Amino acid sequence: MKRSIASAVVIASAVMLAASACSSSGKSGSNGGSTLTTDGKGKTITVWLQSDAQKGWPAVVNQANSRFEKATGAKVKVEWQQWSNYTTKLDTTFAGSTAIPDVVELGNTQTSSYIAGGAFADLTSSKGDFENSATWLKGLAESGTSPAGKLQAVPYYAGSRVVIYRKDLWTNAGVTTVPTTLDELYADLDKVKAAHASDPSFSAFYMPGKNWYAAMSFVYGAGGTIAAQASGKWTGKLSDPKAQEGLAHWQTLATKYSVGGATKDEADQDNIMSQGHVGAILGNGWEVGAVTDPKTGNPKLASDLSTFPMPGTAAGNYTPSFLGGSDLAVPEKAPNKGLGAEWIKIFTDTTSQTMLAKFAIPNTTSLLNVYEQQAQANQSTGEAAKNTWFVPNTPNWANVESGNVLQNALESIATGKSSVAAATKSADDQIAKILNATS
Amino acid sequence: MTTAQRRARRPLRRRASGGMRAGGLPYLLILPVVLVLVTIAGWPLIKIILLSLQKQESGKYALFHSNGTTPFTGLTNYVNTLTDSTFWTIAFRTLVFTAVNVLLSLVIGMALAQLLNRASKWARVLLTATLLFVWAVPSTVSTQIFYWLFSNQYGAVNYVLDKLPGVHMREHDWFADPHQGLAVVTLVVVWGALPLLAISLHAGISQIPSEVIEAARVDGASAWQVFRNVILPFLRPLIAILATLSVIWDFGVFNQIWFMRNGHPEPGYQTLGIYMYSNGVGSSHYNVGSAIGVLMMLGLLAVIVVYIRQLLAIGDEK
Repeated sequence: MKRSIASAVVIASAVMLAASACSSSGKSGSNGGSTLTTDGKGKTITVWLQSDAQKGWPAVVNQANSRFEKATGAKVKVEWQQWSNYTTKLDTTFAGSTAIPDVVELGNTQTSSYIAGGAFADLTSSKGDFENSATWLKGLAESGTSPAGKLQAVPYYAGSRVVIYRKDLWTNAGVTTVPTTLDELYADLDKVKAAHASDPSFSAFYMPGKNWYAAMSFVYGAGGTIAAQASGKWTGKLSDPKAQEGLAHWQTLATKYSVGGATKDEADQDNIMSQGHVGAILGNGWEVGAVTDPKTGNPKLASDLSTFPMPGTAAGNYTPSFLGGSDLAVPEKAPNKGLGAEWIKIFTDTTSQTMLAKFAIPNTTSLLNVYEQQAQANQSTGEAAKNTWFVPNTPNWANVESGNVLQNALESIATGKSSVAAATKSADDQIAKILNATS
Repeated sequence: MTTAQRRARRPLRRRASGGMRAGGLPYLLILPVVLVLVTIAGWPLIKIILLSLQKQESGKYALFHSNGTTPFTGLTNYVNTLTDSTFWTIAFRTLVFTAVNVLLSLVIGMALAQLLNRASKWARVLLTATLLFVWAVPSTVSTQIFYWLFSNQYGAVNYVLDKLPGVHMREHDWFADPHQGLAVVTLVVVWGALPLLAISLHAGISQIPSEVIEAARVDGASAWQVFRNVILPFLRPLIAILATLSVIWDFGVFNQIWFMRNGHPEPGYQTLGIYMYSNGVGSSHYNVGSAIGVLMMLGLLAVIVVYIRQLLAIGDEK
């Protein structure tokens, strides 16, 4: 008797296993396209997330994991990543065939070279399954879509840059209203600068010489662009008159109002601001927290910092902000593609993104109001997120970034080694060469 | 050496070589090391040579879909690298940088060794301990410290220099001009190289029989003449080895430049190591990067040959 029960259990479980194997193979992996699956009993998916989430919003990740585990029966293993040398790690992982994660996070300027390389599963047929996919932030959604219009990466979150300034220093210098045009900004900075004429280390507006995100914002604000494609060929456009006009604005900030940052990038600007000799910076909304951080910054500045979107040439016309952010993708070679896509669905749905909106700009315009209610800085960054620019969306762009083409050109302008015209001429040549490279 | 002495030595040698014939034990003992070397050095070496002979695709499709292999293209990557004027500019800069660094570290190392030799015991212990501490500091850390020292706004160097009468160094940016910037890098590299050089040379000097030096002094040689005609000839084999090692290290300097420029070295800071890394790894051009790596290796091989010959020559003398 006992024996037959045992064999019945064995047979039953074997049937169940076979059935589940059938259903999972039937559901996912149809011709490169991958469909979401909730069938994950006994499986574990691996998720690569950048440590920003670990430090900033671990609760969002945890709730998504537990909802996913409840829905699928699968377990989630989150492996925290670092941005530095991340693409090398992705390259070597995707080149191999083992230990491939089921979900990866990528910066939105990194996705296009991986999409072109066929690294990600095609999620086009499941786009409707992802909540808010109709209202995804444009810059993020574009970065996750192939030139042929296929969805290969899902928007995760974004950040936009605003002016972070010392209200106390500005008020003391006689500036009490926020500038609405660049000319007003310069007039205000003149006053702030004059009030600190005795401090040779003082920057009325600290603008590092390698801050290409800032410089390109002025290029786009003036109606210019970095590069343009005509009949299949890219041309660098920084020497165009409009781009030059924009760069002249950046040059004014970097040379007339900024001290000491000519050969630096924006990485340590929060530390520098917390030292007290800086009137304003251009940074992500969360950098307010970095400037006032008790360990690395100066908490006393908390009540003195405020933000506003970078004004443009005319009132009400902001200088567009670079829309930085992250996407999530399912690697083509992932062992559990359907489950990976399901995890992304849960991690980017309204519930998760509403929680995330406390810390970063959510992936959809429909939740921007939640984000803006959180803090004063969020109103400015939310406003700035409505008018953004993005890098040329082509697979070779990543090499312009890794080759430091823009940073080197800008540094030579900031140090006075080159004129704007000479620096951009050489940058345009390099950009065209890199973007048009075929072999 | 007399004939008798020579004869006395022979059996010893024969016994030593007889041991080699005694069986496979020596080979067995060396096997683990050989295995480790083959895995961690040999295999990557073969792989890098193979990569350098394969086609450099601009996209990553081949990388992800054919196990990273692309068709063999012979020496195309090498020809492209060697016909690029940027490569030669960087190669020349690397040579000058290496020469300056090796020369400075050897000269200062020798000066410190002399100091160690003449200093009283407690001073010598103190100096040696300090040198060992310097040695223990990883290059990433020392680079960051020097970067802060030379920071244009809050750096100690500018602050101190500015205090000197007639010097205006406030806000001076050491990294705006790559020559000045590389001078700061040289400072870190030499600083890090000194402990080994000074201690080795000190050990070398203390091996010189004191009667030889005394004899030279009695004959009226000046301090410089003693150094030039007695100490230097004695130390020549040691100096040759230290110089070769320094060339190998300084030729491949990476961390000090990379971290001094926060991971984004400007064109004027590019040496071959940096060039290889930013081209190969930074831009995912693994084939071209491998070709540059192999070229660097070939360049160094010439130096290593000198090094090994020197080692063999020393072995013969003994």
